[in-house]
Amino acid sequence: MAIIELVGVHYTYEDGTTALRGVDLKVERKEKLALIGPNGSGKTTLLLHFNGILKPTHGRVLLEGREIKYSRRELKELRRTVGVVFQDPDTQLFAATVYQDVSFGPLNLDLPEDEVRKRVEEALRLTGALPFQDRSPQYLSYGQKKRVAIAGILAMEPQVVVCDEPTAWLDRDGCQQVMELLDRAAAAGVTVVISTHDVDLAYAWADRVVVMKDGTVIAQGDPVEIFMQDDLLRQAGLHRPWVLDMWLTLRKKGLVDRSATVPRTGEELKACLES
Amino acid sequence: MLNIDYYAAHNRWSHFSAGFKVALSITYLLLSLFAHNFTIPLLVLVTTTFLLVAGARIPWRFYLRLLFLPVFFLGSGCAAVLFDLAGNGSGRALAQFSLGPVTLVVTPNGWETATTLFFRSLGAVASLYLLILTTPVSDLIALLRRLRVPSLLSELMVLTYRYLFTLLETAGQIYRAQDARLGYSSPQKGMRSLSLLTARLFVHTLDRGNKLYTAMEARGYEGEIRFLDHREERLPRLQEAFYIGILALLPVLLTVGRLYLWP
Ligand SMILES: Nc1ncnc2c1ncn2[C@@H]1O[C@H](COP(=O)(O)OP(=O)(O)OP(=O)(O)O)[C@@H](O)[C@H]1O
Ligand SMILES: [Mg+2]
Repeated sequence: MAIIELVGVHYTYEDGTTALRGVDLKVERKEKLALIGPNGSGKTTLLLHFNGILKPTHGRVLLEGREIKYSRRELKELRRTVGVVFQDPDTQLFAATVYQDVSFGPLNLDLPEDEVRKRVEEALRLTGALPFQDRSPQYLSYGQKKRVAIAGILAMEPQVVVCDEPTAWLDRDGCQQVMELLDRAAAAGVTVVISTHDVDLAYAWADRVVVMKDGTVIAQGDPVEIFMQDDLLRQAGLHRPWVLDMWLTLRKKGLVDRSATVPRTGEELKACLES
Repeated sequence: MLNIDYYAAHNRWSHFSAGFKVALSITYLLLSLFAHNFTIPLLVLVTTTFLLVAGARIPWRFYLRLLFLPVFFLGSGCAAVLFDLAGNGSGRALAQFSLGPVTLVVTPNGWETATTLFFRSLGAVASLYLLILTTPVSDLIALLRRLRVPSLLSELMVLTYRYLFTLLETAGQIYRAQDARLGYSSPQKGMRSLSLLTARLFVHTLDRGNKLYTAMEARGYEGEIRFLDHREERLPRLQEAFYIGILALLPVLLTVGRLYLWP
C-alpha cells in the first residue's frame, strides 16, 4: 500500500492563484521519488500537502490508506511520519544554536530526553554538522545551513523525508554531499521525495520521476522511459539529461550496445563505451 | 549590533559558564555603581578591559569603539556637571573659561562629582560589556531557563533574537538592491527609497515570520518551544572559578582596603 496518496488534490492560495488542479499521486514505501517541472508548476505547493501544512481545497490526502481529516491528533501523526525540509534553510532554522535547533523536532514528539539526545547526536553526525553544533545558525554557510535543516528533520526519524530543491544554490560538492545524505537515509529504509528542476539529478538519482506542469501531473514513471519521450519533454519545458542524450546519439551511430541497460550517470556511460 | 553578537559567540570565553560571567558582571556593576569616588570604577574599567582584551581576546579596536559610544554621551552630560557659573560663591576655582559675557569655572566640588559620575557610568557600562561581549545569547537564554524564568519569556527571547536578524538582514538586502539601482544617488531619491524600504520591510518581515511559523509547525510545533542545550565539555569548574575569581577579587580587595586599611 502507498504510504502517501493524493487523490484529486486542488489547491488555491488566498490571493486566488490556483496552484494545483487535480493531482493524483502515490508515494510508495521506500522509493526515491523526484518531482520535476518548470518554475511555478506547483512542486512546492504539492510537497506542502504531504505533511498537512496545506490542506487541499478539494481532494483527499491518504496516509497508509487512511484519509486525513486534519484533526490535531492526525496532523501530529502525519508530521511524525512525514518530515519536510524547506527549500530555504533560513526559513527553517530559528534556534540560537545548531544543537538546539535540531532538538526542537524530536522534543515535539514527546520523547524522553535521553532518546532526544541520542537522535540529535546521530543526526548531527550523519549530516556532518557535528563540528559546528554549538554555533549560531546565522553564522553558517548556506551549505552548512542546509545540512542542519536536514538534520533537524532526520532527528525526528520520519518514514518519509520530503526535500524541496535539496540542491538549489549549492556548489558541486555541496550537491553531492546532500544527495549522498539523502541516499544514506534511503538506504536505511526511509522514503525520500525531492523536487528539482535539475533533470540530470532526477535522472541519475530517482527510482521514479513525476513530471508536473501548470498544477497537474502530466507523466510519471521510470526515469529512462520518461526522459526518452521527446514530446513530453517539450510539453513540460524540460530538456533531456545529458547522459541519456549522449547515449542515444552514440546508439544511433551504433557505438554502444543496444541491448545493454541504459546508463544513468556519467560513470555508467563511460563504462558503456569502454566495454 | 551584529558584531557584538558575532564576538559573543566567537571568543575565548564563549564557552565559560554563563552563570559565572553573569555573576562576575553583576559584581563589577555593583562595585561601580556604589563607589563614592572614581578610583574603584576606574579599576573596574581597567580590569574589565583587561579581561575582555587579554582574556577573551576581543579585538581592542572594536572594544574601544564600543566604549567610545557612551563616552560621547557621558562626556557631554558630565560637562554640565563639571562647569559652574562664576560668581556663585562656590569658593576656589580650579580653572576658568570666559565665553563672552559668561565665565565658567571648575570648582573642586564640581570636578569630583563629574569625574565620579563619569567613571562610575563608564565602569558600569564596561561591566555589562564584559557580559554581552563574552556570552552568546543562547547561553543567556539557557541560563534563564535553568533559573526557571517563565518559558513565555525565554521563548519570546528566542523568537525576538531570531526576528532581529531577519529584520536586519531584510533591511540590508532591500537597501543593497535599491542602492545598486541608484536609489540613493540624490537626497530626494534617498528619501523615497527609504520610505519604500520601510514599507517593504514590514511586509517582508511579516512574510518571513509566516514562513518560519509554517516551518515550525512542520516540525510538530504545538504552542510550546522546547530545546535541549548541548552539554558541553567545559573547563574544569575549579579552574574556571580560580581564574576568574582572582581577577574578580581585585576590586573587592581594593574596596576593603580603602575602607579599612588606608581610609
Ligand atoms: N504563498 C503563495 N501565495 C499565492 N500564490 C502562491 C504562493 N506560493 C506559490 N504561489 C503560486 O502557486 C503556483 C505554484 O507555485 P509553487 O511554488 O508550488 O511552484 P514550484 O513548482 O515549486 O516553483 P519553483 O520551481 O519556482 O519553486 C505559482 O503560480 C505561484 O505563483
Ligand atoms: Mg518550489
